[in-house]
Amino acid sequence: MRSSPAFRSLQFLAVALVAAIAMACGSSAKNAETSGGPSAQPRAESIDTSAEKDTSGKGGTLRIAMSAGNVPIPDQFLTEGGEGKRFVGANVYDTILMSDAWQGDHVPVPGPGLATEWKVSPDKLTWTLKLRQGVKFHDGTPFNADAVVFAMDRILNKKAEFYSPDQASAGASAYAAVASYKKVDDFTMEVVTKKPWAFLAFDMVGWNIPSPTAIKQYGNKAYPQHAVGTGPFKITKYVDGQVMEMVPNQDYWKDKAKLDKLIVFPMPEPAARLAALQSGQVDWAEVPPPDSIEQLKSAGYNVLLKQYPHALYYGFNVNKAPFNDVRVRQAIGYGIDRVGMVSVISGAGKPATQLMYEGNAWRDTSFAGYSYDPAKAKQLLADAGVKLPLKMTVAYPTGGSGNMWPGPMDEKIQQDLKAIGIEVSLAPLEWNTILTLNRAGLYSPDYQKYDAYFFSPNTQTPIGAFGSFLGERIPKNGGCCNGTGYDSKDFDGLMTQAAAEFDQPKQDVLLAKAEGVLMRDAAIVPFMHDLNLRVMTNKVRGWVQPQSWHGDMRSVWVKS
Amino acid sequence: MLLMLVRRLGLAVPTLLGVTVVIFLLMNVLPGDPLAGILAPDATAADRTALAHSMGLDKPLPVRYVSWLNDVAHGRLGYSPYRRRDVSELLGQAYSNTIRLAVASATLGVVGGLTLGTFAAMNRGGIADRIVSILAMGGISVPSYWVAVLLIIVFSATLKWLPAGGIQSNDSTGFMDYLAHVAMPASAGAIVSIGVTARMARASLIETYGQDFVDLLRAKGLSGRQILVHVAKTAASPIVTVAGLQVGFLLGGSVLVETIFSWPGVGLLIYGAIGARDFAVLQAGELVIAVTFVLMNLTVDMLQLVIDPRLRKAA
Repeated sequence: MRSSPAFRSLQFLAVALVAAIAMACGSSAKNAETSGGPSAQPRAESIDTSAEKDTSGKGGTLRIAMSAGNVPIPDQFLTEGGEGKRFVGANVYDTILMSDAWQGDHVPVPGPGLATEWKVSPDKLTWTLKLRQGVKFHDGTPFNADAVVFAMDRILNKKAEFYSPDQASAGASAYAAVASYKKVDDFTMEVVTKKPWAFLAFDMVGWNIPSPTAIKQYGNKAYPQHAVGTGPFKITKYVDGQVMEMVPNQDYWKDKAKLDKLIVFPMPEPAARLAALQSGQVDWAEVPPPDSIEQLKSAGYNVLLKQYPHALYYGFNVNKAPFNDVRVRQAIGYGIDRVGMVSVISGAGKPATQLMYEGNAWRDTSFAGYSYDPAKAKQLLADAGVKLPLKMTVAYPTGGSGNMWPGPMDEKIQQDLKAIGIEVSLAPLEWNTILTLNRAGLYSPDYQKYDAYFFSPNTQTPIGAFGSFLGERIPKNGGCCNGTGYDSKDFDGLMTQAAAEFDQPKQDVLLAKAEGVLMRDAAIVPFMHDLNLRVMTNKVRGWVQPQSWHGDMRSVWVKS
Repeated sequence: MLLMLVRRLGLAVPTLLGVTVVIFLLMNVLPGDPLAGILAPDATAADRTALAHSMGLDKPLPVRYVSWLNDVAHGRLGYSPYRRRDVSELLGQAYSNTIRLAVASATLGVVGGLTLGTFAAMNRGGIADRIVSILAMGGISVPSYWVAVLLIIVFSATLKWLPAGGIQSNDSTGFMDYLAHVAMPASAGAIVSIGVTARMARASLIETYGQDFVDLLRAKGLSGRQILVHVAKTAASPIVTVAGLQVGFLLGGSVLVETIFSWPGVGLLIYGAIGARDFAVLQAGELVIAVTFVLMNLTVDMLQLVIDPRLRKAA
């Protein structure tokens, strides 16, 4: 087409107009969003809080935007941390013991899984596991003791053909207690631990069992592209970096999943997850930006918030003056306004006065915990004879799964502590560097410049919650990863007793006592419990928000 | 011209070697640990040592560098323990995705920039010229991640016209699906290119319009459009340089744009690899970007020789 200058002028005016309109739309959309205006959002007929209990239907396709940077790699030990287990691991694989994560009333505890019964010998070292019969892998091959031995060989037996160094590293803690294992018969296994280790029940909730046939067929390297477990869902499509699709396993050994299809997408950017939900691209989004909570609620989405074993804390270099004085650490504990911090993050957290929240079996109810008491904090600092202002450098992560919103939270702490005479300088580090710091310890030469660091462990298992404070885990004692250098005979003694206590209620009491020692010593000062923020459309039914890092997808369906 | 090509290719080799040294050193002075993301949170020091050994990370830096260089020279880019895949495979996939995005961005950026710049030059001093200048300046100044989020708010969350992220829909793979997914990331990525190209095109055309030969063409009675053809040929050289470099940038993949739109290209791959200190992916990824850029530079130089006979004589 021949175009005259006049025609071009018109074209350009059009371009300029479109640009101007786009900018205008942008600003009005922003306004609507901040004011929660109805025009910007779809509004459901009514807000339905009964979605969780609705078991009236089945079927549908559920599309989930994960906060992970990638699709979790479905090997025996999955990548992408909590989301790896939550969205892929717990669906594709069953574990030797499985927790009751289908309910939301209490923190799930280990129960029957691929093992139906387990007995411990009188010397407390040998575990005899009765395995479930009639279970089939997704490839049709039978599950039996050989499959369990094969899976354990991949992690523990360097001479095994399919031993995998990267799986062995990823699984090091879940199998750390195991001294030996053997098949007794097709459905009986014997596992011997290095010392009396009642926590093995928790460890076994992490023992995924993949299909030996699939691994032999594809080899360690290619196996994740063809992952096969016995779980309630099987993988039908997997594009690394993009998407994973799963459909229910119709031969599952207990209640089958209700969905027709489950699709998970990695979307590391919070704004993108939120937009994907609002545009109808997904039905469920993990951790949207917290300032969108009110707007989402008013637009009829179900915003789910529930406590689960996950606490954020500052860990101190307990060997470095003046933080070697327990009163200084306690002062910081009382100097943080946790309730104020909750409003900074739009209510997406719950004040953590101890590592364990109220109602958790491992909380020490004889200790009130750290609530905001600046007068007491100042008194403690005075008692310790600290010259004010005290300078303190804190290393904190700029992001990382499960760290909530470190920037605004740390700035709140900075502001609070200033009021009691402590000047905090914040050192932002990448999550990987914080992990490295945690491994090496604040007392190692590289990290001595920091007085404390921000950390956020999974506290669902005894070792996840308390393992990092054992003296034996200080690197100079040959272990890993005690980042604070905390070394207490009382605490270690209680943990040793708990590890050898096979009666669950008695074990809980010992762990609660250990928590009490740790909290009074204030090697760490917890400040926030994550509430597992996620949001879904009103069509998503039957999802029970658990007090756990993973739930049970079998009960979920999508209303058409 | 052939001589020049050979000379430039020869120069590319030390450039790339220099790049590899810088990449390698940078990776190793970064705080953090390539094993931290792979090891279980409480894996012991012995576990760490064993894994470091199995990955060859216990050898001294120069030894690792030389052995890596040797591997690269033989086409072996290594294995990513973090992604559990061969780096060549990962990069191949990511690079093809980045090209799908870069082609769209570059088309938008270069065509948009050229048209705007030409339009402004032909209406020099007028309102249209000023509008274009403001838009171009805006394009250069506005951060692409901000534009990206704005686009998502408008076209995904509010109007629901376009998907907020990803590279394709689950059930359709046609060209329209590609367009729907690429529209926003390509626009966000092209904003800077449009601005830079438009400014350069405008400046170069205006300068050329001021030359004596244009008066001669006018005196001979050529139409505005015919004159533009002659002017464009003369003005093309700097525009091609700038536009070519923009294409080079886009082919490198944008970490921010790809991350925001969950576009699985080289940028997103590198973003993940930085977080995990995935050295194998980082080194190979950066190398690929450097090679792309050097080749793009070379292509631009060669193109200029084709376009501008004066340069051919000089060469």
